[in-house]
Amino acid sequence: MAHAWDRIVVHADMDAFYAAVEQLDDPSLRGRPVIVGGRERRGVVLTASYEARTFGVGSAMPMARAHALCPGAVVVPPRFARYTEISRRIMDVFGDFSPIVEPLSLDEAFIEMTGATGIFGEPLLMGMKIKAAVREATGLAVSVGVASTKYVAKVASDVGKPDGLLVVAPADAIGFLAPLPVSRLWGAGAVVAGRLRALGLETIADVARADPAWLSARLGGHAGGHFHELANARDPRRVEGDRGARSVGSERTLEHDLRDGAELRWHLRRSAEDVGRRLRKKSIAAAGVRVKLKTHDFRSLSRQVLLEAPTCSTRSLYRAAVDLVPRFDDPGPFRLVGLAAYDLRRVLPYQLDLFEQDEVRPLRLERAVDALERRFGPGAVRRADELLHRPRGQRAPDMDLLRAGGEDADAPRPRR
Amino acid sequence: MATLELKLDRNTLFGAVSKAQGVVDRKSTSSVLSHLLLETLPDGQLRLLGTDYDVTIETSLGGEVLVAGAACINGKSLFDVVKNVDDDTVVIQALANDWVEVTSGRSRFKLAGIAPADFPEIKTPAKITWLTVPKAAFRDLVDKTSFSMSDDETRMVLNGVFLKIEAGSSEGLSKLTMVSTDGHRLSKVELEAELQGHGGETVTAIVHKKGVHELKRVLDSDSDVIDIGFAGNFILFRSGGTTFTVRQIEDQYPDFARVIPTMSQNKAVVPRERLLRAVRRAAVLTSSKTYIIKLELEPGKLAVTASNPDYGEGRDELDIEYDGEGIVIGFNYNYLSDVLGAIRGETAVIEINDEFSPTVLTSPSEPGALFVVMPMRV
Repeated sequence: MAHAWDRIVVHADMDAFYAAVEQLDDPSLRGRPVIVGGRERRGVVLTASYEARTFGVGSAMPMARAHALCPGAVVVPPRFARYTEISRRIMDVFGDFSPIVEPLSLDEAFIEMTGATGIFGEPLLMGMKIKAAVREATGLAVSVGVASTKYVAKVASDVGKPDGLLVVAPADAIGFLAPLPVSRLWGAGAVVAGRLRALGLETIADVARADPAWLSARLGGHAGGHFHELANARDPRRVEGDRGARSVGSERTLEHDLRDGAELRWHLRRSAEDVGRRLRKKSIAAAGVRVKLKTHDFRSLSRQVLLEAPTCSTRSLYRAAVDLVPRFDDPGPFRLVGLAAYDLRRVLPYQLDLFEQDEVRPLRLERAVDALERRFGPGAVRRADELLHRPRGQRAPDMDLLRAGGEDADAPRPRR
Repeated sequence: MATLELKLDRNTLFGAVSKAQGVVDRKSTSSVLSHLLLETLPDGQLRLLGTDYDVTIETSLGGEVLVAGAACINGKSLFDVVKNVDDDTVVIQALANDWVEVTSGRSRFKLAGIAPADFPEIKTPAKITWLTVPKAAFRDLVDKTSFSMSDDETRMVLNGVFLKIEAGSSEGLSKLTMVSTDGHRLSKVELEAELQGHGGETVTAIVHKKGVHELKRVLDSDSDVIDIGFAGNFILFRSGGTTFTVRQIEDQYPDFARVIPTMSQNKAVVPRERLLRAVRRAAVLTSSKTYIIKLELEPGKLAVTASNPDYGEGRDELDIEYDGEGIVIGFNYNYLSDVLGAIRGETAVIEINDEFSPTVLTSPSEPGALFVVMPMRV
């Protein structure tokens, strides 16, 4: 690849999530227009299946209007507990790809994949693997956008829908955004989009070319600069891991209040061992170490430090933690001691473990798939269940590998 | 009040003290574990004891007992004094306050001591089964395995070597197996020898690494054999006048056979020393955090490469016997150089399945030795 991917951000967004779950659970709904929402006439559409969308039904539409557009639609009341359950499975799948996953809602997340090409392959392959893994875990389709910024990745997943996979290389990002309407700017609601259009700015390219100062003067505050940056495919925002993936911590509530420094260090060492082991197991390193203490009267105190180099070593975590202790100006006594490693990143290279060879089995599978795909082209290898659970309207994967192979290996992948 | 008065040969005493000093706590001067116990036995013998609970060393030494008794002296002080005195004879005399006077020629030292009764009681195992092993053979086992013990105290069971003695392939022969692993690499050496005292029963022990390090010193002594004693939770090593008692790691040693590949797809025969030198050269450019080098194999050729954004990159090529597939595989260079340094033959055999799987190194001239190294993900 000629262009350096300084970052790799994946945005994954489930297709018509609530409706898709209903169709998954009730086969009689498959292929029919389904609307998830309140049954009463004053309700709104939460999600419409793609079959219903062809009639013009969309999210947030009043139910009455949806009925008028698509009288044959089946209306299903939402089952949030079920969606949450499936969402957890999806997020777990994402968590298998990266320690840093930022969920935006039940069915949508950013996944930080920077540094993971060695494990999952080039960005296109990453996207394919994520899609396949989500389908395997849930039977549902996800649209995936891969780019070097959050914003472009989000737009890419949306443009590719349904069941899309769109990779926008860093050098193509500005061109990719250029023809899109200003309403696609992240954070631009109907009001802002209307104001931009009133200024004569129709497309993202128009915003990209505008003078940021002029834009700011007209939109007020930082908004002008913000949209100008986005339009130029600049978005430094990091994927903010959450759900415990942002940090790995270990804390213990003590049986007696503690004041003694040696005992405090003993607990910190135990925590450092625990955290270090978990980091190493996941092959991630932490750039930050935080010590948390809770006083006997339940005040939570914490001090943190950024390390010179990310680490997963128990010793380094422990040393950093011990160095933080004097920075607590409270003499205690304390009832809880905790240590957390944060600012996590994937570490390569890392040492494989003789006794945990099960961990490399997926790597070996991926390597074999990669080799086949190098030879026969992307998509040459699919999971069997993809054939079984193929959503309607999609062509069957081309199984005639010998015909497609070799000379076609570099041909563009057929758009799905 | 302690009594003791001895007249000893300076070199004999120094030899005993330096062995015992290897065991005791050298950091703390106050701890009882930093002290050595010098005592006379009912039969008139004289012995020196040092312990850190995990390892106990006991050396008997000849000397003239003027007054029977015991003294407990800080090991480091005694070592430093005996090391530096000029005269051939050293006289040791217990003083009233548990201190000790050490006199040699015109040098006279009064060394702080503690009451001998405070020295930890050494429980000698009641029943010991002693086997006598040729020292050269045993040294080979230790030399080829001790480098891959784990230092990670969260994996306590790996903090030592696994020793197994069982019936050999024919009458009168016993099979000795020694294994160590730190989870990233594994060393296994098997050999057969005639062991006096061995009736063919299977005995195993996990010898703590502290014991293994001390064992190496005992193996340097003159005797041709070493006695190994199995006794409950202890394993004992006896050679010359010195006996080590090492507390066993009481745990199940991992099933190492499971992780040793039984077949491999790609086999290379390499010139051992040339590869060792290439690995060491490449190591110059590895990062101190990862120690990573890469081996690039292609038919007939092996390249050792290393690169580091801060220092630069290097590549070393050598001709090898190889007709397998092209492979690039990363390793911690220490793991390769440890193995290549431990074996002796002209060639080494490297067997690789793929870049995620355990790689096996063997030496055609040392058929009992097998080394497994896990690669690094690059």
